Amino acid sequence: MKLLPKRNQDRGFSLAEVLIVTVIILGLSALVAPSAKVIGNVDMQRGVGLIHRNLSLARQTAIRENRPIEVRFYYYADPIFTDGGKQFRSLQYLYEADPTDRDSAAIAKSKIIHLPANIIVMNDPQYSTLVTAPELQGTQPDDNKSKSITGTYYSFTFMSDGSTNLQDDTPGAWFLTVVEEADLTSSETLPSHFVTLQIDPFSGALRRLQPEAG
Amino acid sequence: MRANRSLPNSPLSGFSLIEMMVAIAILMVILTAIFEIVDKTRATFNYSQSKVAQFRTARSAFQTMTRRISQAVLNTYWDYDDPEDPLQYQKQSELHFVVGPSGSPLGDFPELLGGGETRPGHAIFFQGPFNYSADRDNRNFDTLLNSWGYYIEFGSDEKFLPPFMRGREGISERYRFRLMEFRPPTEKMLVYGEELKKQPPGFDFYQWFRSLADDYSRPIAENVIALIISPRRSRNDTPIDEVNDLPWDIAPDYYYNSREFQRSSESNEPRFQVSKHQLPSLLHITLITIDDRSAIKLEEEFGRNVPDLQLDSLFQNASRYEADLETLENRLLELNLTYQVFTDTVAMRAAKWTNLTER
Repeated sequence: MKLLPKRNQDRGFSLAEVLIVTVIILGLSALVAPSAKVIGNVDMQRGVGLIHRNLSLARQTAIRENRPIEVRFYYYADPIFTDGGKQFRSLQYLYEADPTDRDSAAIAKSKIIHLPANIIVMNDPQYSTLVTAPELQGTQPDDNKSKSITGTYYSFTFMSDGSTNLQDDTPGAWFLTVVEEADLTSSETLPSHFVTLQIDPFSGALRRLQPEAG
Repeated sequence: MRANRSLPNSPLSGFSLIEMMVAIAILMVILTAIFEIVDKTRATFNYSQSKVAQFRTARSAFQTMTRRISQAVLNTYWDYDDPEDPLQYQKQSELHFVVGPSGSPLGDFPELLGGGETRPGHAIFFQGPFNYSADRDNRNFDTLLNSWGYYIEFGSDEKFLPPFMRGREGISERYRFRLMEFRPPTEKMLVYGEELKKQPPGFDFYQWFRSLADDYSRPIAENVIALIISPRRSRNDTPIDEVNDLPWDIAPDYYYNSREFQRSSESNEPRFQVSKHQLPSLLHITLITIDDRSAIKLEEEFGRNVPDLQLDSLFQNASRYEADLETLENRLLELNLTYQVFTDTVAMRAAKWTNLTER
């Protein structure tokens, strides 16, 4: 074994070379970036899809089983990413407790459904009436065995005919807005990327609204 | 050995700038291609998703509507025909059930709502025990009566958006056909008003929904382009026209009004005597919906104007229903629109059809 030849191969790149390469990489990245943006949006769409699907499921369950189904949105600080603070991060639907019986409790029908990390429902009455109306607030989750969530929840109920218990029927009264937590500068400022789910209080019909891209 | 063999060609010299640039360029091209493919796949997926979602929403709205309609009531009772000089008992009711042309008049029958071509097809208005009150404390009553109704309307969605979205950048108004649900709270049930019982002429027995439709109607499904309602009697019911014995002889022109006898007491057709304070046994309901991509196509072509689907001459004669439906479907295919037709025959639970003319 000879020693490696000591020529100028290990001198690395010159400053000029590195600069040129960097510039080229940046230039090409700029070309690719628009397509890459699409992929960053996936988590948000997945989060909205989860909520949309489970609200529809809860409504169908209420009709099929002919009994009211309560939908809860849990508000808590994520135990893993603790810097996030309290936000709406999960939902669940349950058989509603018997209103005439004080001791009865809601029975879980679904698991607790967690939104993708970094995806939350905005906690501001301007953007999410469905999780901020005072009359919808519940107390500590009482049936919470799957994960240690401590915090409050807001809930509304799908009645057995597919309508909801939401009483206000002014146009566009009931909706929630899904955003990326990282985009949030304050709890009242709406980020530029968001998706809003609107629900009709009588028919339970859901509608998805979002600003056009670009 | 390996290392030795390649030594003369100086393996430690690394890649040259050119090599790096070429490699990066190739990488970028591949990445762009991958992103492009992902994007296209996603778009295709979203397209089929939205189509499925659109038709699911419409189906759900259709079921909501048929369930509500089947619960319509007239709360009929028997009373003297004339309190001053009673001769016999007669069916009486304080409520009103009406099916008819929505936007434009049909023959001798006035339009139920008006609005011309922005409200195509038929409309239905009735009362039912839907227990909706503006006052939350009244919820315990359980069977409060409400006025209710359904019709199609074309227009902007602006006023139905969440308040924060109205006029916001990136949110544009959508001009669409929608299935509207008329649902004033029980406090606004005007049907008990004096107007309803007055004798003609010079009164408007459609007042109870005409005056409220703009304020108390909400869209329950988008992109629904037609609502066709044909009142029918069941096979066992006595025919009005015994020769032809058609199930729609109680409303051959799709027009049915439980108070039509009030409008023209002299020249009353037999069918209006029969329909006096009666609910039809059956309602044959058809809903036609298009998907959102088709709606966007229409918006590109017609803008804010009502798309010309040539509906106005259709669905005026119940015996031509099949032919009219075919004409409409051909028109939609011609415009290259994806559509779906929902049909159902709803049995009216509160209907106790009797044909008194047979006695």
